[in-house]
Amino acid sequence: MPDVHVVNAENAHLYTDELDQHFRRRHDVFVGRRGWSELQRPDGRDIDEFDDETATHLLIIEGGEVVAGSRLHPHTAPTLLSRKFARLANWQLPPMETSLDWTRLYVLPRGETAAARMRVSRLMYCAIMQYALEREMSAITFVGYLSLIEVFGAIGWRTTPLGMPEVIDGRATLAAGIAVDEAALFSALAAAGRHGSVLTGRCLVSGGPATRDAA
Amino acid sequence: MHVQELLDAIDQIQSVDDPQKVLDLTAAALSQYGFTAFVITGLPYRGQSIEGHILLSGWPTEWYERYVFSDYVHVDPVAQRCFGTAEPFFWTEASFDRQKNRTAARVMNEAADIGMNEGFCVPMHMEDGSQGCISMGAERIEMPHEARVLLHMLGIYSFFRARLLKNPSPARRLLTPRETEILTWAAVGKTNRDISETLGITERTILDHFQNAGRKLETRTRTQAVAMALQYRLIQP
Repeated sequence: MPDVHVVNAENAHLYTDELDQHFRRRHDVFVGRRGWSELQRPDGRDIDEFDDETATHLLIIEGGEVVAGSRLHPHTAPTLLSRKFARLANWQLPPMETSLDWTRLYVLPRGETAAARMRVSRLMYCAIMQYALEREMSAITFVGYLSLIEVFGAIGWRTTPLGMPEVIDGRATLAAGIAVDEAALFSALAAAGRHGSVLTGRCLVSGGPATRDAA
Repeated sequence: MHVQELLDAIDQIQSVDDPQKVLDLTAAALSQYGFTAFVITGLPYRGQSIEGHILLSGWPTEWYERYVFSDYVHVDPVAQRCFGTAEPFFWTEASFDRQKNRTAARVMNEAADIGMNEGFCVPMHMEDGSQGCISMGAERIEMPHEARVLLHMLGIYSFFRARLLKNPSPARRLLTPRETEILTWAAVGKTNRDISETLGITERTILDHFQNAGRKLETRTRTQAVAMALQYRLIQP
C-alpha cells in the first residue's frame, strides 16, 4: 500500500500532473456520481475558490494514478464550513485556531471488493489524523452524511455533531468535529493495518515528513 | 430531549468501555420518548441465525428467546426494510400485506402483545457492506417530529460503540509484533535482562517497548501491562 502525499502551495509545482488528475477525479465523483451540479465546469475539473494557497491536498497515488484524495484547510482561513455550511454548525464549534476543515474526500471505485476500498479509505483516515496531529490540531471538522459518524466510530474516532443535521439531496447530512489525539491516530492505524508514518511528499520544505517519493 | 442532553449522551456513549453502560445510556435516552425496549443488532443474510449478530439486547428475555429461536428476523418486516433504506422509519412504515404475509403479521402482533405496539428503527449500513439496525419498541411513542433526527444520531452512536466494544478485533493489532513478543516473555516471568539477552536488544529498548505498550493499554506498570494484555488475549499465557 502506498503512502499518502501531502501537496500544498510549497510543493504543488512538483505535482502538476497529479493535481490535474485530482481535480478531474473530483469532478467525476462529485458532479458525475453524486450529482452536485453547482460544481459542474466545462473543463471537467472541480476547482473552487477554496483551492487556493491555503489548501492542502492529501493524495493516494498508485502507479501514477490518483486513487483517493482529500482537502484540508486551517480554520484560520475561509473554509467551506464557515462560508457555505455555517447553518449546519450553529450549536458549538471546536477552537478555530487549532482546527482543520476536511472536504472533498473521495476514494475511487476500482472494481475491487468492499474490503479493498475500505483499506484505501482507512489509509486516508490515518493520513488525515497524522497530518492534524503533526500540526498540533485539536479537531477536524467535516460536512457529510450521518453514516460517516459510523464509519469514523468504527475506527475508534470520537466525533461531536456541530449542529442539527439537514436533509440534503435526500440524505441526512451533518457538520461534525473529530477529536484529534494520539489514540485516534493509533486506532486508525490499527484499523488500517499500518504502523508508523503514512505521510510522504516530494521535497517538502518544512513541517512535513522526510523527503521521500513512494512512487 | 434537548440538544445539550443529546450531546452529553453522545459524549458519554463514546467514553464508556463497558457495553452494559452503552445499553443503560441508550435506554435512558430512549425512555424519554416512551421506548421501553430496543435491540442493537447486525442483520444476518437468509439462512443465518441472528444470534451471533445481536450486539446489545434491551429486549425482554422472553421476546429475545422467541425472536432468536423462531428465526423471526427473516420474516420481520422491520428488519427486512433495513436492507432497502438508509433512512430511519417508524415500524408502521414497514408495510406488508396482512392477508398474504401471515408470518410477518404474527411477528408484529406478538411484539404488540408484549407491549411493543409501536416502534422506530434506524438502519445501519456498514462500510464493509454488512447491515444492521437499532430498533426501538414502545407501548406508545411520544415523540415530537424534530426528535426523529436526534434519535437517528443517538442510534448511530449507540450502534457503533456497541459494535466497537463487542468486536475487539482491531485490538488484536493494537500491539506491534515486538511488543507482543516482549510482553509474552514478561508473562512467563522473564526479567528485562533475560528478554534483552534472548532477543538481542538493549534493556533501554525493552523499556521503550513497555512504555509504548503501556500507553496503548492504558496501564502504568509493567505488571499491569502484562495483566491487561493477557486479559485482552493479546498474548497467550
